[in-house]
Parts: sequence; C-alpha cells; structure tokens
Amino acid sequence: MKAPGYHAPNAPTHLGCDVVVVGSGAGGSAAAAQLSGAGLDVIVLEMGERSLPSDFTQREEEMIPRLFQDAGARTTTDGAITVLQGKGVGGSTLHNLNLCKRVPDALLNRWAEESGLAELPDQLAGAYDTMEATLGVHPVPLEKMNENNRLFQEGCAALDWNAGPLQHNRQGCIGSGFCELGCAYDAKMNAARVLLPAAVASGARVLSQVRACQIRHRFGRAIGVQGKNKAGFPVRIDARAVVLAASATGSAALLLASGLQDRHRQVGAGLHLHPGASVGAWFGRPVRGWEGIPQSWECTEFLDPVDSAKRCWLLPVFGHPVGAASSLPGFGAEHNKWMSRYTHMAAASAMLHDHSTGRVLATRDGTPRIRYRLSQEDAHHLSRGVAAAAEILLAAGAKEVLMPQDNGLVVTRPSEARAAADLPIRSHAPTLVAVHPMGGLCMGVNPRRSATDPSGRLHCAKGVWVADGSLVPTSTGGPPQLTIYALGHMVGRACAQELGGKLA
Amino acid sequence: MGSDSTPTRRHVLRLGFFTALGLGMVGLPPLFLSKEGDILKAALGRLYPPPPEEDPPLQSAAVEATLAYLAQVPPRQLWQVRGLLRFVEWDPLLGQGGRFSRLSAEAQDTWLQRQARSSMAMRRQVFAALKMLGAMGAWQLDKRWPAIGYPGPMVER
Repeated sequence: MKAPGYHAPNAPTHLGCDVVVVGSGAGGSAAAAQLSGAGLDVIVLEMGERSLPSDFTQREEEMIPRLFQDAGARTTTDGAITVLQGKGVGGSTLHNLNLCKRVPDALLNRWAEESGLAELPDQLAGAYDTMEATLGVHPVPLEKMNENNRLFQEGCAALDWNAGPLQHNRQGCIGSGFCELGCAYDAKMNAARVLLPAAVASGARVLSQVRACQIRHRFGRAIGVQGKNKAGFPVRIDARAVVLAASATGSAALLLASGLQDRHRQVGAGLHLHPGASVGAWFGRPVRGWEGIPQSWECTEFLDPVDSAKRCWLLPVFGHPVGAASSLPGFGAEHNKWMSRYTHMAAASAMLHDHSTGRVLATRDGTPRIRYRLSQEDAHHLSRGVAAAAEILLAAGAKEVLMPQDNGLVVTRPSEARAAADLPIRSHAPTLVAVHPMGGLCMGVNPRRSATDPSGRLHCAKGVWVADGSLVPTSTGGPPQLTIYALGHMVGRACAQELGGKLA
Repeated sequence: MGSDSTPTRRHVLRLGFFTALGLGMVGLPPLFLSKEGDILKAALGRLYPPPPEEDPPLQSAAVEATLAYLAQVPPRQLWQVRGLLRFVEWDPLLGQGGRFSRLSAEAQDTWLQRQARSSMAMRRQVFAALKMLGAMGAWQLDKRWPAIGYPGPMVER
C-alpha cells in the first residue's frame, strides 16, 4: 500500500533536501522527527522494505529474510558470532523485543570522564525523559508475564539475586509472542509506528528499498548521498547535511566506502557486540515459552557497568522452532530428543558487557564486514554468566539444564552448573549470537581517539552527523534501544540547530 | 604472440555479447546445481531426520525450503554456502575417494560428529553453519510442528 510520504522508487531518482538521513531505525527516525519538526526538508533512506502489520506472517522463513540484514546470515568475519541486525522501514525496532533501559549513571560518568563527554549525562537524561514519554515506556505488568519469565523470576528469588522487571514500549499488546518476527498487531511503539509518521507529518519523505552506497563529498564536506534502488537504478540525493543512522556496522561501513579522509583510523574502531550464549532447561511440565511477552524480567546480580568483575546480564530468552533447532546441541536422534521437549523447556541467556573490541571494515560497495574476536577474559566471563543462568533455572525447578560448554553439557545440580563456569565456551561450539552491536563511530572530544564529537558530528568531515548505536564509547551492558532513540533525538536537534531549523 | 592477438575493447564486447546470447539460449545456470542439492539432502537427512513415516516427502520439502531461503541470501553468503557444501562433499578426511553424499548413514554421522567435536575451529564452523542452514529448511515445515507441540502462527495466511 502506498502512503503519502513513503516511496519505493523504481526509476533513476535525483532529489534535493536539507538533510538526508541514512537508516530509519531508532536513531534515524528520532533524528528525522526532530529535523523535520524544525522545518527542515528531510529525506530518509532505508534499504529494507516498508511493512504493514498485515505483512508480518509470524513465519520465520519469511520474516527473517525480510527483517534481518543478510537474511539473518550476517556473522563476524571468523563466523564465530551471528550478528542479528534489522532492516526495513523502522530498522531493528521492527523485530526487537521492546526492551527500554537507560544507561546507568555510573557508566555515563565514566564516558564523561574518559571520553570528555562532560555534558552527555545531563543531555541524555533529558532525551531519555522525552523518548520514554513519546514511546510510552512502562514496566511489563506482572499478570502479562509468561511462564518462561515467571520461572526465571522464581529462580532469581530463590537465589536471592538482584532482579527486576524490564520496561517496554508496547501498547495494545495481546501477548502473541511473535515480537521478533514483527508485530502483526501493531502494538510496538517503535520507529515505524511513532517517529517516522511524526517526521512524515512534518513533511519528511521516506524512500525505502534504497541502498546508500556512498556519501558524496567535496573538499571534505558532505554534499549528499549516492545510492541504488531495488531495480538497480541510481538514486542521488543532494543535501546540506548527511545524518548516518545505518547501525553500528552500516554507518561506519558507508563512511569507509565513501573515501573520506580518516587520518586517525577512528572510523569503524571500538566496535562492541554484547554477545550472548543461552542455556535450555527441561522442566518436565508445560512451559510453552513461545507464548506471551518474550522478555519481561532481568537479573543484574552479575552486572555492574563499571566493575570489571561483574559483566553478565541475564534474562529469559526463547525461540520459535527454527531458532530453537539452531541453538540446541547435537544432531539426529540426540537433537530430536531435545526438540521433542520443546513445550516443556525454558531458556535463559547471558549477554556479555564486553571489553573486547572489534572493527568495522567494508567491501567496496559499502557492505559491512565485522572483525571481532572475544578475548579469553571475556570468554571466561561469558562462561560464568551462562553458569549463573543455569543456576537460576535449576533453582526454579528445572530437571535438566543444557549448557553450551562441552558441546551440550547437561547438568542437574547447581554445583555442576558452577563447575561448568570454568569450562571454556569454544568458538563455533556453539555459535554465539549478538543482537546489540554498538560503537564503531565513538563519541569523544579527542579526534585521535574518537570518530565523532560530543554532538555526534563526524570529526573527519564536515556536514556528516551520526545518530545511531555507533556513537557509544563502550558496551552499554544492556539493551541499547532506548539510548539509540535518545541519541538520535539529541543529534537531530543539534543538527537542526546548526542548519538554522526552528526547534520546538 | 603477435600484437594482432591482443584483445581489444571490441573483442571483449563481442565476447560478452555472444556469452550473454548463449546463456540466454541455454538458460542461466540454476541457483544450485543438482549435485549441491544432493549434498544438502544427505546432510539434512542426518542432521534433522524427519519421522520415519514422513521420511522421503519431508526430506525433499526441507531441501526445497532451504533452497528457497538461500535464494534470499546475498551473493557473498551464497558463495560461502556453495563452498561449504563442496567441502562437506569432498573433505579429504572422508577417506580415499570418499564423498559425503555416497557414504552410509553411519559414516555420515561419524563425520558430522567429528566436525562438531573437532579441535579445529574451522571444522566446528562447518558443522555449525550446516546446522543453522538445515534448521531453516527442516523446522520451517508445518508438518514437523505437531511432534513438538508448536501451534504455529496465529495469523492466517
């Protein structure tokens, strides 16, 4: 269906505007809403399709290629970590699980200290307030918690570990449990439902299925973007400024492919993946983990944003059959045994607040390549996190817990789970999953150690701003969605101000 | 070789034209050659064996479903998958002249087990990639869901 403001060009296109925003996810949509609200002429480019709620069929084989980069097959260059990043009008906010969590003050203060971002904590606090109100962020009501989360909550309580409810941006959620495949009930208060319509109402144009290939520049100043549409025809946008919001990998890759001078090699540096590994637990009674809101409770017992000894964030997780089959160990009869227990299984994940850093590289056409290797120290922390997740599920009454160590180690007692913390998680056994890439164009005052200034302006070129998860200087240790919305909001305002827009 | 045989722009264009014409006449090569389909089928049959009563039709459906998925994967990844399947079929460790798709079921299982537990990261990667690819084909099939109690999508097609 065609709606005013949304286009998918299929012929050669040449347009002009004040600002071209590359990417329509959390950061791009928040920036676009501010820029067009300030009276500037804005064009948003998005490489994926525009989906309506009726397009979300709740089938993995149809939605994964539609909603994920590289049809869900994107990995680090060594193949050890699957990196799930979104595409489509609304970006990753189409498939994410709506978790909204602020970066803790302690970590913001560290960023302020180490990267010279003295004003960021205050600026971000204001942007968080605005975005939480705009997106209707609230804790998931306890009565809406599903059995998988309830067991996790019970396990945390039994162990007396720090835990609590997660906040979400949902409205009218019926608890179908298909959130990661797009919401067929339009209950996600996301970029596609809230912010892009606001931008379009102020006159912004959203061009979907347009892949940005290069930033056009002259004498070190951006003058627009060159791209290709779905039919392969060129799309050229002339603009006074370019706002990059193509994700923590896509924005850096686009800059690298554009041939801008980057003397200090900061473009693509400082990438964090927040990788995770999961445990499955057999309870011997129905759990039906695919039903209801997928993640509503978290455990922060082993997470302190600034304490190196505590770096794992634990939370429930579950997969539909394709996802579950990929994660369960073994093959043939052994694998079938675990799949036959699917209804009676719960699962939890440990995500690592990683100190390992990677680098975004790019092919000639701007496709990101992700070079990242988990350090031994980080791998050890992840092993401990996974063991803690197993302990939670055992405390909740699991009969057997399947751990990723040792090709699918089965434990039945907490002491066995704790012992497994010393076993390494080897690469490719299993493949780790990263759903929160961050960094790559980090903020900071020093151009030798950062790619962007504290307002999100690129150090190495004029007229280029960054408004996505690339900006954060370290892992956030939690879901970055809300922070990306807030950063997009802040950068959009700063850019609008510089271009002479009228801010509300 | 004389200077007359140096390819000129016209030669290259002519060659390109006739190649395109030839391909147009015989049809473009299929996305996956039938041999690659055979390798995939053999691997899927061991990784995710369907219930015996459903065996042949479900196995073929899983292969078709995997191919349909691969049609949506970018060319770079698709070439990696083709490389993966060639490695599976022709791995030197299969034994002299051994080909995965022609091994007995037991020998295929042994080879897969070795990959999964190998000390070499590259071999573990082969297993992990094959497994993820296979899961997309095998477990998207509605017919496999009742056995695990999964009701499937709530929305109707």
